[in-house]
Amino acid sequence: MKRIKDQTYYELLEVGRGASTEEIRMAYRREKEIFSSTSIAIYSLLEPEELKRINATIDEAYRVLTDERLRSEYDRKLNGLGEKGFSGEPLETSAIREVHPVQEEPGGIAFPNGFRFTGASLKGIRESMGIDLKVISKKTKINRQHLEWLEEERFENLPALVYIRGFIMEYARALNLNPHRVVDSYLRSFYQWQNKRKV
Amino acid sequence: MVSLSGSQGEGSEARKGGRTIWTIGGGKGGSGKTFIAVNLGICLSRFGDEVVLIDTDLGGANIHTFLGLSYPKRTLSDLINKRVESIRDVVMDTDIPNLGLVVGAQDLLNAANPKEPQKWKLIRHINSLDVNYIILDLGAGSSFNVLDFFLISKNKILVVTPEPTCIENTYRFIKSAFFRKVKKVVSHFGVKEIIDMAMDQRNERGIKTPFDLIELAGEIDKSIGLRLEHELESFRPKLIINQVRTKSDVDIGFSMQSAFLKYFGISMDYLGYVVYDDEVWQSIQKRKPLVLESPQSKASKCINEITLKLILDKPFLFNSEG
Repeated sequence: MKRIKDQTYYELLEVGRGASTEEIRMAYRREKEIFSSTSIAIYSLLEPEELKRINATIDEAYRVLTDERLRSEYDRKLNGLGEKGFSGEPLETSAIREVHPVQEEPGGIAFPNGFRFTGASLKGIRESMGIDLKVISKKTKINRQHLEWLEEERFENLPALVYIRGFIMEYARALNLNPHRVVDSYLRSFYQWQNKRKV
Repeated sequence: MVSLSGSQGEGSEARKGGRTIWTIGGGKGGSGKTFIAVNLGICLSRFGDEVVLIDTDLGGANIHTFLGLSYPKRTLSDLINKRVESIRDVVMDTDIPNLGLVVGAQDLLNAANPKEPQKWKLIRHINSLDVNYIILDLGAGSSFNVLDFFLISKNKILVVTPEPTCIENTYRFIKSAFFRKVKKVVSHFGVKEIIDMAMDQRNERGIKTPFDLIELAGEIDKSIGLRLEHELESFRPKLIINQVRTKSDVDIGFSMQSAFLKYFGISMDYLGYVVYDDEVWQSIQKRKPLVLESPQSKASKCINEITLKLILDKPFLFNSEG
């Protein structure tokens, strides 16, 4: 569930990553029809300005995805993001910006591939950066008690998985870590705990 | 999608002896809500399940007319005014096997706007009714009363005609319904205030979509933002396009589905359409339900298909088995 501005070009045109040029062309025509200024289906839904912006994004999606070179460049960028999509404005293909300008090495510590982000290691990273939990709580708007439980991996006290995922994303961002990498790694502990509980 | 409530979809509950409520709304008067409700109810009753149609249009109840019945002795107003004890006492029989009817009030004091306690009492009564299917026919408009009835079910059905006026009302209706729903699940005072603000179309915070609301709520408290996001994902109304004349009318359903998802973040199931058919008009004139009067008409076939889709909806079956 993402806003239009956060959707990938594939999501925007509602096609798969492997869509053929013909499929993209058809999808483009369909989307242009839905978001045309005379379309009954969206009557009253959008301000003229919003409609203009959406149409420009659809045009841009079409331009990129039907140009072999631009599309593979775009795909490379998407792959780099682990298909999580973007935050911020739609990409400018002429000069694709770094979408997640995250600094992965706080205090000069490089996290090697395969580094496990667990509750304990996150706590360690945070403390080594000299950041108090109160500061994280203020920044992320996550209850301090919840943050403590996240660091202690007290999953039984925490709400459902969607929340934990969201919390960890925010926590990682607050520490200037790559949120997707941290979440993927951290949730391994969660799944282990969940499996153990089932047995 | 992760379920927090653990009770996804009640669609096939009735098929295993439980109870399912379908609410039929849409905001615009004259879009065919009552017509669809009555005919869906009849189709459904043929499967051998006990079905009760409830007209919640308090003030302008006329569902009985669609069935060729006169205004009954007992209506919802007797229940509200405590002249009867149980909702069972106001369920009237129809000529159709397995189909019961509860007629709304035409005479209720300030009927169109019952007081909050009266309304919740009514909702509790409806929820206590022990039958397989309950179909709620809602009144027009986006008032809190209409919205609260709409929201009592997971199977929320919108009836829309392919006209700008109706589509405009539908977007407003569904947005209001979502805001109304989330207001009940959050307890944070500040967030509640923002939701109240969002109910006003031209609010000062510029909240136009559920996305805007979720963002603002998340700024106050991350977990509320996530909760609302979950509510948005599980909201899932269903859509019927009524009085379809052309192929492009049919496509409006798909376009709305796409626009809902992209702009509101709301997934919608497009159940199908009912063609514009002179026989519909004739059946209403004769006060005989279409699916009985003209079972072979195109519109009847459309309604049969929609009924099947509702009963057999795969996600529901999947949920009841899982």
